[in-house]
Amino acid sequence: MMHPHEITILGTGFVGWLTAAALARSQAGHGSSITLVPVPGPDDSLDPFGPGTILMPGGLEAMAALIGANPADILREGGGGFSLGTAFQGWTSPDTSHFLPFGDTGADLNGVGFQHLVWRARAAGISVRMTDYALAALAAQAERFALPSPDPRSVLSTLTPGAFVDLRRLTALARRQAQQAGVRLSPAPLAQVQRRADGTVSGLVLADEHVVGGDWFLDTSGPRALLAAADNEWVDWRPWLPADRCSVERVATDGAPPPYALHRAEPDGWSRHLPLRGEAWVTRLGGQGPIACRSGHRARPWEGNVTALGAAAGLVDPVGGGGLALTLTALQRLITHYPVQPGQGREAASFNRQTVEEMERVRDFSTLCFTLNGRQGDAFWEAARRIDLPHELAHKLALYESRGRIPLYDGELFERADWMNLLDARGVRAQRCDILANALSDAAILAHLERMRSVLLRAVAAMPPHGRALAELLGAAA
Amino acid sequence: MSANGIAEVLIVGGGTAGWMTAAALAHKLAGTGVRLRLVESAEIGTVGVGEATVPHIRHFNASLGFDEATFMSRTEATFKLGIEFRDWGRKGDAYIHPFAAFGRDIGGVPFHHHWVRARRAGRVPAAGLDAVSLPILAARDGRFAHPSPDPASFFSTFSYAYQFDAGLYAGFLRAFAEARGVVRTEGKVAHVGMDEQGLVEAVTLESGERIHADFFVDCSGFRGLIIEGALQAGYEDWTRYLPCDRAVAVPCANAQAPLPYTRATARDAGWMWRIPLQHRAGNGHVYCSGFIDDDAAEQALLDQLESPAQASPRRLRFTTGKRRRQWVGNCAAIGLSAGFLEPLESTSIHLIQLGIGRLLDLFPTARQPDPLDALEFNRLMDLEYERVRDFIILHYVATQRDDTPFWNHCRTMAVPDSLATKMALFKERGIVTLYRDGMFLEPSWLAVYLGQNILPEQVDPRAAQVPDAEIDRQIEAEMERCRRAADRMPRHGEILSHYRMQVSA
Repeated sequence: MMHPHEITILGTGFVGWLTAAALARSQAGHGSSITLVPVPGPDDSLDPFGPGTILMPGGLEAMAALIGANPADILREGGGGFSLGTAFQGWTSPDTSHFLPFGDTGADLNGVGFQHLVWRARAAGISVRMTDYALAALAAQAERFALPSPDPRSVLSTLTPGAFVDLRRLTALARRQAQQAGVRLSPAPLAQVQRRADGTVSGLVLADEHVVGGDWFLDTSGPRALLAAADNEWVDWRPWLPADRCSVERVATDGAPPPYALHRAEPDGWSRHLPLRGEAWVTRLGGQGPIACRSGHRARPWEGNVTALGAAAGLVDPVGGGGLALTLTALQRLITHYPVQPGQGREAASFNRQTVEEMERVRDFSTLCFTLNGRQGDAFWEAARRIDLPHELAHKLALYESRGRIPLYDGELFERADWMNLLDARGVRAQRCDILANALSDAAILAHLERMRSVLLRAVAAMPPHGRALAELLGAAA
Repeated sequence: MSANGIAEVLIVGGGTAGWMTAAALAHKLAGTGVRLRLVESAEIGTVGVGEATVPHIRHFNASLGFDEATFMSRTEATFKLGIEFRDWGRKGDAYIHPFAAFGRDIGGVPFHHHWVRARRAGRVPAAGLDAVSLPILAARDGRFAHPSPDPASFFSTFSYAYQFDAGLYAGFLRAFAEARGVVRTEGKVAHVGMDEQGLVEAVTLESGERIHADFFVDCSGFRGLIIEGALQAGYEDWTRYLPCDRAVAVPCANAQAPLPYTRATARDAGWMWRIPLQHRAGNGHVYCSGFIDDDAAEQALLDQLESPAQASPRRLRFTTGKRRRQWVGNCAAIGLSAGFLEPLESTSIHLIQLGIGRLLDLFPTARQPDPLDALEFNRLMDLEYERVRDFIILHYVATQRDDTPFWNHCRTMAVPDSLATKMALFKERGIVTLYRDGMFLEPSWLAVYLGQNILPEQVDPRAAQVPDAEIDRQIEAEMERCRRAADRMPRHGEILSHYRMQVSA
């Protein structure tokens, strides 16, 4: 059988410690050793978009399971609040806004999909927005919050909130979990990468001239991907996600954080306002910010004895919000694909196929956020409308425009409702409605919509304000 | 109200595919103003080999509101907990592919990794995973109980399907469909009429009657009267991967109480099925004509019957593969007209059901269809057929048999890349490749891999971190749990007679 591995992780940022904690825990009692080697510079291991980030629905639980904590710990230590979705301002025109909620939107009637009911209501001359039938959207507007109910009969079961977190605080939490599990930290940072004649990594030379070897190297050094082989090329996604510069700024705030992020379109890009408790982080993408942020991915995130994670593996414009979710699923996959002999097995090919597939689907969602804009006169936005879509996305859009249907491929992190809400909010209308809807009368459809609205509005009215709900949960968890 | 561009739909062909389509469309399209007709000829026999099903059929039946006791009594149905594969890995081997997972994770590592380690060390019997599967133990014992709806109950961990008389099922569906307005016309199609745009306009029967429709569903079987005959969709031949090309079928009386599982026994140049129904057992021999002649194949089938044949054997020929496009213009093919995969994993009826579901999802709204409807239908069905195909091929290549030229051929034949990659990952490392679309999930792949002696060379390295004694204790506990639960299940026959009494009362 195999020998215990020496695992060397390059990078002591968020992804480095997250990976260390996840691996150390997944092999509790294992003879392998894990050593982290710092890289000088700011932490851009997940992305260069600043310390504030979003955990998409399911992310609190996924991250907690990976590092061996409770979801409540992540929320408390993370320094933020819950997220019910994202407000988009100025994307269809400078003074309009729309909301993309997490969780369910609407409900079917007699097996007819909600989007077809909306189609019929519009055909009957009623003005409706899909997201007016999402509890998360209504609650977010009222800045109210409640935890989802496990009872499927409760309207609260339609909620699946995410959360906002400060990566620096979560790094500290992951680091504690990792070090408790015996992970070691190299005292000196990386000076130079040592390679064999065939290009594979043999060791990391530190600033104190010690060399850290290893059987398996995990590259969490951010977009620079210091361990990537020269021929492991970068697949550039700027044709679809054009913003390649950004800036990050901290803003002090009063009162409870809103339970949503704000994505605002600017004349030459867009900005993300991400709320935490007592502060917010504003990231501006596009234009001439000081930080480079090219969307794309390493052709082979795992090659030989080097596996890249986080921004070293790939980076997607954060407009769709899937960045951290991709890293969490990559880590889960790394554990199921835990190598028997790093650098030799078939694990890498399978890991790469699924990892790249997932990144591509998130890329598609983000691309759609840009390309479906209605801003006139801004060169950035005019160009974004002319983007030539990847074929999977083109098929998805065409099928929705034709008949309100969203095909889902292998590796999709977003749900059908996410795609439909985005398309609907951006004014994309299906030409046809499902023939099954013809069995329903206008009156039945309108009554159904009416009933849903009143149930949702009553539910929102009964929810406490987000600030109070959060304080109670944090108090209870403390 | 009716604002449809589709007023008339004609289903060409009865049989299982035709009547399943008619019943489902009649039910789902009720109130939409779509009128349904079906043309079939009593002179043309149906193939009806697909007598065993997979659990998805229960959703189909439930969505049409069928009562299980009534449906089972009318179709002479039995419960099915899985398929027993005999002599596939090696002669003398037998394993059951159940509708359930095996064991539970230990130390965060999936059960099968621990099992493989224990088996390599000789700490568990080589006989396979039977002992850690409740439905397998129940099946072997001739027991059956409905799964519990309570997810906390151990009895919720398996699923089930049916074995039924496909001819009776078609009749049952026909009564349902006709009661909901489907108009049946008896007759043979003599001619398919096209319009100048290349759309199907009407079919003319031998009687001279001409039936117009806006949309056609081709359920005419292998011939594909419309999809191939008129629209020339093309056929992708998969014989190079699945060489069997003929079958012979014959019913006989049950020599014992019907078992709650189907049997597929590997033979010298193919395999034989045995499907126990309430009133008889269905038997068949699927074989490769390059390795055995028809008379010998038929004799081999008759020789192993447990009781005298109840009818003269029926022979059929087929070419494994699928239509290049299962939906062309204003015609979708469902059933054997869409493609053929041998019934080794009881997928025929499931593929019909999938075709119907996707047709409804993408139902055309105008006589001049949007090509996207067909494009998406074909994309989804291609994916499904290819993934089922790969799973079936696995049974033939994951073999150690070298006792006949047929098995030497299968063991060494080239397989599609999609399967080669999956098999290599499992053989080397014990990882099952997962995907979104495709009916066979991880437990199914594991059942066949491990049942046919494909033991991964390496398993998850984390499995070695749990002490052997702890693994042994957990496997032992799982066996005990399965054994006790199986012993509490009633006999299969008791439930069937209970249903019978309920229906006749």
